[in-house]
Amino acid sequence: MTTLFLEPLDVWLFRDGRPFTAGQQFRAASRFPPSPLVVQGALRAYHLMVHSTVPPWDAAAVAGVVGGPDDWGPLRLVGPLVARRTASGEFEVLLPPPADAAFPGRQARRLPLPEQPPEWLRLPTPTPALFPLWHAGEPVSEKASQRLWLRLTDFAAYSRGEPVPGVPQEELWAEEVRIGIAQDSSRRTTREGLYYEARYVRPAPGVGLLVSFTGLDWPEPAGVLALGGERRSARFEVVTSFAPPPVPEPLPERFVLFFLTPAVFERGWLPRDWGAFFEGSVELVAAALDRYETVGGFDLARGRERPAHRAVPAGSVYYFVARGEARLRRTSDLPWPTVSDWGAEIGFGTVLIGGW
Amino acid sequence: MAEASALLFAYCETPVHAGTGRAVGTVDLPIQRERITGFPIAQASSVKGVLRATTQANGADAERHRALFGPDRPEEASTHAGALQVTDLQVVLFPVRSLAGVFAWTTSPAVLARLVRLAKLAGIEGPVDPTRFAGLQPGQCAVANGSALLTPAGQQVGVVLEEYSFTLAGELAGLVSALAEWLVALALPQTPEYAWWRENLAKHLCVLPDDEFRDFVLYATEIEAHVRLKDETKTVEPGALWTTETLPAETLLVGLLATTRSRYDKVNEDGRALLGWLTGKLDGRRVRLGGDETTGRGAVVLRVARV
Repeated sequence: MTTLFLEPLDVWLFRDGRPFTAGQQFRAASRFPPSPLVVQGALRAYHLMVHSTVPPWDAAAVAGVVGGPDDWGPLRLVGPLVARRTASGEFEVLLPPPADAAFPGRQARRLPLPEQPPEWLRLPTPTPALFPLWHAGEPVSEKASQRLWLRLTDFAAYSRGEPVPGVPQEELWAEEVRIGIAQDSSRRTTREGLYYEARYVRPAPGVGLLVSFTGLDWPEPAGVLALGGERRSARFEVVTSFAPPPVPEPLPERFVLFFLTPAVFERGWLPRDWGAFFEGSVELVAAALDRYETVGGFDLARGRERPAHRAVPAGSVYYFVARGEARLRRTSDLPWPTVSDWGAEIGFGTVLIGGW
Repeated sequence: MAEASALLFAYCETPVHAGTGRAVGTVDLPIQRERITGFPIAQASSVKGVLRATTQANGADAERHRALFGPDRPEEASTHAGALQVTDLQVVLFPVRSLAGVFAWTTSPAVLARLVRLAKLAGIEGPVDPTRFAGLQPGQCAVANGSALLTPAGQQVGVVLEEYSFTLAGELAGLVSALAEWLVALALPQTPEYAWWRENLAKHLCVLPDDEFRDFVLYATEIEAHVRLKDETKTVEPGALWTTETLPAETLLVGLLATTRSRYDKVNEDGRALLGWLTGKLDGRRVRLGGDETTGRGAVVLRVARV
């Protein structure tokens, strides 16, 4: 397994799903962190171009090295996770703002979830009812306008319901708006109608992305690869010191899946079958999630856009009760499990397990 | 995604206006800056456009040019990606008015740390360990022995830049000389007309603490006022007064060029060969970067440093 820390040499551009077409829409927006699709594309392209001698225009030969456009080849990946270098040279992983948090002051605190369904919810309904994330009578502090990122090291305390200090997004990255024009090089003038504005991401010094993968030989300890739009540069560095928290086996009786990357499920916010991800019997009792995000991308092999998927956003939290002994099915020896109907091999639905 | 990398230095011979097109601040047409540090940059899309236009070629070279930069025609853009990756140009040396020696080339530990990081990616050692400058206190600076910037400041000798005086961190003088030597060898143009610059860089080089350097790059750029005259009366048109910011002449910028092997089926060359061809076309070349080139803005000399 290889873990890389990717940091920008200047700015990054990870386009969202909105159109950017001359004459109609002159603004290109960026998202951060990028979806796993972007990172797997960058790693596979680097592997193809630097570690192999296969001609990139020979589709069959390319598929033999990195896989075809519709399969992931030998690559198995988790992340990308936002991380930053601390003064001691270690890496601090930051978790996306949890959807089940209130943010009083500059702290994050989990909304109090009752262990038993409240009295008014015990209805003879044919479908199992989910718990509310708080019930009447429980004082809930008003949501702060700014959602905070959590340090991985604070996650255990957060799971116990303790308020933990969060990290505001502006400490991690800023949006950098740039104006661009197209020039007619023969006349040295600006081309009519080709004025655009792009919103780039400028991570703060020391902030980058952490990604772990298997399946690609990666001999270089450091180097530069192209990541995201405009072939923007990322300096990569192999990380050996980072160890994520172990996955509890068996799972605690009351546990949560905290999604660190978006997950694509067949039934909107629900997977085809939870049984595909667990050994043993588990029951979903509550969930906190934000509105969907759209995951698209560009298919380099075919030279066109990939179909867009609606995804459960990072930061979503699903609450479970395990009936008897239950375990998460592991499909790889990567440090984080993934739970997603589509793209689980390349990091969609990278989850952290907590208790409640 | 690099097989080969090189440092691209751009030495500004005239003021450079790589603009943002609009502003809400006091300057109508400011220069491009990084969002977080406020340091001046020339954004990669401008740089790549200039490099592409400068190296346009015919025959076999035209195919190589396409392999590096990607197809010229937008409708062919998705057929293959270019092999070249260009970064923003970041500031390395920023000239500031000095009481002695006319002007100083200033830099800072953060700037040097970035330069070292880029150099390392290009496989180039040095120039100096930037952490050695971390001890610079506010109001202190480091210059080489025998610097032209030294001026009496009270009982001691110091450096006065604009209206700010700095005391010396004498123990860092050797390091400043080493930095100057590295820049002379790798960053400055090697042509005979640059002999004065190569000889004088060490005497005018000054390492400032990061905050002081930031203040100079924010507030010591050149601001020019422009008006537009009415043709008939030769008086100013109402509302036609605006200010333009430029990066001063004698600024040194740096970026990274990185290449992979070609993705274009008519050119089967590796990254080193493509970068070698590009280096031959760019090294020592005088190009125009940014806007207002017909009024003398944006003349820069390129220098490519690679191993």
